[in-house]
Amino acid sequence: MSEEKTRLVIVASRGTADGLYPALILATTAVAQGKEAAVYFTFGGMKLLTKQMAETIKPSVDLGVSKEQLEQLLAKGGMPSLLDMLKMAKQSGVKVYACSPTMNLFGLKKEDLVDVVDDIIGASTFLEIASDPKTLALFI
Amino acid sequence: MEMAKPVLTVDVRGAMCPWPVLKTREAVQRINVGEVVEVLATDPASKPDLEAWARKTGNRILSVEETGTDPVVYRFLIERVK
Repeated sequence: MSEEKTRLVIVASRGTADGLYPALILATTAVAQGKEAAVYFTFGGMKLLTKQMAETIKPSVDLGVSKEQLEQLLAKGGMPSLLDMLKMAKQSGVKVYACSPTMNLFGLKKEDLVDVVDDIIGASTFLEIASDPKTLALFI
Repeated sequence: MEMAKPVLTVDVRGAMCPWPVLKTREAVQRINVGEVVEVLATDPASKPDLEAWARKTGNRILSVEETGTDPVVYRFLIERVK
């Protein structure tokens, strides 16, 4: 991490549209504000990094709209799909971390993942990243 | 000082957070220091969000005008400072 920059790190743990959009929105906005940003995808959040599942992500029951309804609403507001949003985040400089224990749990290999992952890390590495005094860590 | 003339316009009317900030940042990176970008937005959060972005990045919002109703259109003039 560079000397002067502050950093935002987010744990994206939910595999729902309403769990993942906020993580990506905050991370890309942090980069726009001149911060470094990273998202650590774990458990349900790993769906977005998994080729076979990324397109199937639905909103949670809590949100109260169907996948199709949500897609229509998001399109109206100019919001890209989750996968496109992930690629844009990556392009803007957001670091993308995949959770090693989750991959182990579901038998995922590196080649099963969308081609945006900077690194596959575990809890210890994440905590080291999150422990920096110039870092703000959020769990979504 | 004369009212600054924008060299670029970012039209994010109809787009929601985070586009006003992301598109503004892209535009500001394309202009030179001292030049001004015009941003048109309808997202009601665009004003606080762009103000926060300007504070964080050290750029300057020269003016904010609100016109119309349903939706209100916000017009920002933003100077690239660094």
